[in-house]
Amino acid sequence: MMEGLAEAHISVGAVAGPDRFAQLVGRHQAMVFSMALAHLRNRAIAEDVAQEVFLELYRRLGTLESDAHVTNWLRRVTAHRLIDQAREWKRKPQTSLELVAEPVAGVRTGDLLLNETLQQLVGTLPEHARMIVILRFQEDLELAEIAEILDLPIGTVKSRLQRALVLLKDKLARRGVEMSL
Amino acid sequence: MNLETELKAALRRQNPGPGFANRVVAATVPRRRTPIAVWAATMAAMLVAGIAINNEYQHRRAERASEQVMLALRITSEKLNVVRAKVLKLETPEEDLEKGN
Repeated sequence: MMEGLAEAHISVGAVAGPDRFAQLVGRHQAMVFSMALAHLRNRAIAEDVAQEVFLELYRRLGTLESDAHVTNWLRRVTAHRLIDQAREWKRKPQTSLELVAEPVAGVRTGDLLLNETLQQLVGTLPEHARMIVILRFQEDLELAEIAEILDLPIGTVKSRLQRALVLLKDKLARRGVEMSL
Repeated sequence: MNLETELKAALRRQNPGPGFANRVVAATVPRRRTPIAVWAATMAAMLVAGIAINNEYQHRRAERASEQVMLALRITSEKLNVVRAKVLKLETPEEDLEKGN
């Protein structure tokens, strides 16, 4: 997990009320927002989703005892909310300037353009596969942790991750970028 | 190049826009709403005022009606007096004639 030991040992219950909530938002905003941004590829909507998740956290604050509990709860709620949001978009397609894929004229590897291309390609994966990739490579989670968050069997997580990586590798190859797995 | 390494670099965490945390915390502060008790008191005061105004209106109507009845009675009484005087006037000469004979 990305939370350091220094963060992890801070008891959530040690700080009370609004101060406690403000601290939690400050500590976890990058995690929740980045999950949303990687999944939705739209900063404004990602901030809206992140805010909704934190407001839900505020309502549930009394039931969450430790910081690890809060982190796990946030990842779980964010992941499911994003998958639902992506399904909703599939049913009612929307177009925003940020969602329109930019034409890529020759990918220069090792630079920002490669990062941008990878982010775009991750955004084209099916909802669950996309979230698995985000939880694996952004949140640095083990397959068992991902399986628990997404309520999926570990075998399913493993196979979807493998398929997603092969898909990403093939799409990159079509753009002239060869990568190993 | 290794895809997993590149994915980790591409999917690094980013911070939301400045002021995000403040906006989230501000959204938890409940907006000031007029309490139900205040609404109830206002409605009760309006109801009482309405009843009082209606009572006053009815009272004034009754007073006016009463004045009109009194006026009508007075007019009727005056008319009756006039009629009575005329009747008396008509009766008096005949008696006087009888007495004179």
